[in-house]
Amino acid sequence: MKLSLLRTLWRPVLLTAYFAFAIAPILWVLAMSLKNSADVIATPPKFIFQPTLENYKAITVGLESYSTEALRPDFPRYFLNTLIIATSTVSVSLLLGTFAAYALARFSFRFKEDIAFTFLSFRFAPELMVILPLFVVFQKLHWIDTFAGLTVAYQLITLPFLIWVMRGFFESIPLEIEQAARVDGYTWWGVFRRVSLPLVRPGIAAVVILSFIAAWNNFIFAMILGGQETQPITLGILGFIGYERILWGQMAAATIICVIPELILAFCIQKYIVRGLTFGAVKG
Amino acid sequence: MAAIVFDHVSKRYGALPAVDDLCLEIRDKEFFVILGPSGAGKTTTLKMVAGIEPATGGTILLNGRPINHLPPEKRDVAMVFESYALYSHLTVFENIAFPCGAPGKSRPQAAVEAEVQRIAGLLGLGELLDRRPSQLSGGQRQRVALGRSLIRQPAVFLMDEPLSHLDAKIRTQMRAELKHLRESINTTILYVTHDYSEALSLADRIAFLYAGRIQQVGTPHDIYHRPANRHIAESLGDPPMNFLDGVLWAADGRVTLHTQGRSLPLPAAWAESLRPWNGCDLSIGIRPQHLRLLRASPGGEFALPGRVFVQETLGDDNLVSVVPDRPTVEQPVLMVLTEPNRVFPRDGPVHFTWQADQMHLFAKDTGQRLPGPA
Amino acid sequence: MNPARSSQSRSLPYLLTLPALLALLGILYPFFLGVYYTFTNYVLTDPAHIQWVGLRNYGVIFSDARFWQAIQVTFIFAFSAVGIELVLGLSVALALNHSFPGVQVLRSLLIVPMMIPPIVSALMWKVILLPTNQGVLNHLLSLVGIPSVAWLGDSSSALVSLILIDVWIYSPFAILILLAGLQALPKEPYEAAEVDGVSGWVVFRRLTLPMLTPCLVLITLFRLIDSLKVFDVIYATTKGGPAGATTTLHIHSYYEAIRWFKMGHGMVYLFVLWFFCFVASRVLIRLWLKTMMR
Repeated sequence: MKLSLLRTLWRPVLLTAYFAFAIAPILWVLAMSLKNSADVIATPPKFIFQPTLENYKAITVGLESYSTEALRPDFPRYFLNTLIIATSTVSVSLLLGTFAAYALARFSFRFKEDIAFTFLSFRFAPELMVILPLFVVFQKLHWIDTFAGLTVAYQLITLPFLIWVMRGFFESIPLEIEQAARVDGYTWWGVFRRVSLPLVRPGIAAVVILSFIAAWNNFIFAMILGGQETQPITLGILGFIGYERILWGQMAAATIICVIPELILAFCIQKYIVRGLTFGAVKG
Repeated sequence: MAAIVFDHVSKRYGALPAVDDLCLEIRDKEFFVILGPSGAGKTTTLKMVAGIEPATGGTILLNGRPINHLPPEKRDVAMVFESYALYSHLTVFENIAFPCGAPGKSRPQAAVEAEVQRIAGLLGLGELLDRRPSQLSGGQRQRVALGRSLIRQPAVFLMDEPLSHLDAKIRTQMRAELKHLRESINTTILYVTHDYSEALSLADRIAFLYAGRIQQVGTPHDIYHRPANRHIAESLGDPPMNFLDGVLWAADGRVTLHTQGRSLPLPAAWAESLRPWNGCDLSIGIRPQHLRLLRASPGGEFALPGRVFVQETLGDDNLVSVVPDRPTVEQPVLMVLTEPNRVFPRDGPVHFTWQADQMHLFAKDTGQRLPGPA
Repeated sequence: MNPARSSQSRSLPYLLTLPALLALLGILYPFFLGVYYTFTNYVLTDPAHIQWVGLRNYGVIFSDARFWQAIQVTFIFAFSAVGIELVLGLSVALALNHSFPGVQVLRSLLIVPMMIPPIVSALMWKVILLPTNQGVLNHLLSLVGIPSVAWLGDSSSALVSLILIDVWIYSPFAILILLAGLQALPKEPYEAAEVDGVSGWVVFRRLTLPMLTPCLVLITLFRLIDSLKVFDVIYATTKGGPAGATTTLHIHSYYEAIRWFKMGHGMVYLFVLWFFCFVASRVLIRLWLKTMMR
């Protein structure tokens, strides 16, 4: 009898506990972003408070005054920088990676699996192993703190992933359809453009969004190879933690604004998330 | 001039030959069928003509021109795939019109539309032009695949078992429609299948392919009535041909067949041609419809004894399985198609016989057909 | 399977992969450069006087107690995090593999922690884990009589707190994959087991678990290696402290190279870390392929 009680209860108990654990911190940050500067540092923390939008106003329009100009976080610029970096990274990856993925999917050639595995191995390498020497190289090339330099470096994040997942999508197109198009009179480029690409369009959308999010979320590349001009949100948000005081409320507001576009995009491609995160290994 | 010539064409995958030294000439405007079991190399042969698979040896000629080095888009052939290979992201109209957009072949939009409408009408697809392949039945998809190839007006049509994935009823219908359509097409068709009734119905000539090699080329009549080897004989006909073991004695102008402990004298006219096979072990092939069952003892006539295993009445057909006196592992029972309304009780004794000119003789070791029976 | 092999299509695949390949060879170069640096006395403040020193850096570092502590921290963190994520992931996936009102909403909510930049999530937790009852977690604990803990400030609890954050961010990864795996399981063996009257636990142990092995291996592959090389979470919260309690190889390499400018030393730490990651990836990928074949 005790066993059947356990059997019916374990599911709701576990799920309640887990999702409370998972969602509560985000709700807390949301609450923090709506607290005024006194409430946000109140000890003990306040659950009931008067909500205000002053944090959001401060980081977007910059109404609050700061002790030093240098300490003033420039949130809109960080947001824009992140957008520029992520967009250019993904565009370049898409251009380079789609063709490479098609070649890996459709052709057999020497060193094919070696090349494929080399692309994959970058996923598992410690970032600094590549970033630190890259820092030295970039210094010589004067690419530190440039959008071009970051776009090149960020390929390490997005390109292997894009190639592997797109390869899977191309491989799932029945070969005979492409063969039929060849017989119908099209060259490989015609087939690629008019048959292969349209058939993987949903896959491309998913991969683009996941790559975008990966680039958006990155911290370590920007920390070493970026600088004042290119600072994205992930770095900028640390700026709220200054030596003189910590602007918790604004940091919370920045968190919320940073995260909202990503969540919207992620919800759009829910169907493909598992496939993307496992580099195509699990179809989800 | 021959439409397609295979000149010692072969295809190897690693060490395995899928197609071995293929020599074949297909005449202009002929409906030529390559018949054979799965894995015989039929689809590979077709793909080599289309250019999707490169030949590893030999030359393929299309209207006298070698085409081995040409990529598929330059070969002027159209292919209907076994799986139809329709473009799932395009409508039926766009599928059929697709070849018209190929570089170097583009036609004005109005002409394309008119042509698609004509072909759709020919194939009964007029109502379906706005649908996607996923919304069509198997038979409808097959017709779209056919339409897509028709619009090309190529030098040769290649068809890879187009009917094999259809329900039995639709298949028979489509087979008739294909035969009917053939008149309007008036182009060389190279068709492969494993279904012998398709081959017999549609073909002008048939090539029987087994293990990558051609076993026999001939008209449907030739193939059915004079199969060149035991394998071909076994593959054509349902229920398949029965085989009995026997030994041939031919000497002094007389020929006798010894089987199941009895002797069957053969027409003297065959003595000369059969003499080289004196003393050979044979497989005697007789079709189920050519075996006659005698209830009573035959008297002077040649007949072999047996026991009834089971009788199956299949509508108008009466199929009796008979266990001969000396059954073998390969042929434990003989299938006999006899007149309806005759009743054969289980385990009852029975005699069976046949006419000499309706049997097929094959050498037991090679399976090759012996001359003699007309 | 190839289109007809003309001279154009023979070189085509190479042409198509070439740009991507070049881009990544551009990344391989820094890698080998880094390996080279491990054998030099390269100091960032004095780049001109770079000299080959052979295995001296290795000798110095291997005899440094901090190196071994860093290895210990790295492994404790990685294996604990992965272990918890597997168990928690499997439990929650099993719970979600059921249709009840709202299950779709819950499954959609799962992706949220993963989509937030890890550094931002870590900062979020930093606030929640504030010492004394200023932090909301401590406050909630005090309501049930548990005294406050300096989560990130105390060397005995710092690593545990970081593991907690890692689990918070990445257990959805395990859950989603296992959920996909569970939903792909064939129905027939379970129907047969039901007819045979086999109990739930045995079904789980003998049927579900073996069939989920490829998923479990895959999750381990990604999570083990990612937590071996974790960086953002530590940097945002403890920066390796207190007293090296949360200093992993990756974090320490950052300090050696960027804070103390000793590039040679830093690269040694990284090379060792890379080696562990490489071995783990080979072993686990091979294992995954093997379990997939079954």
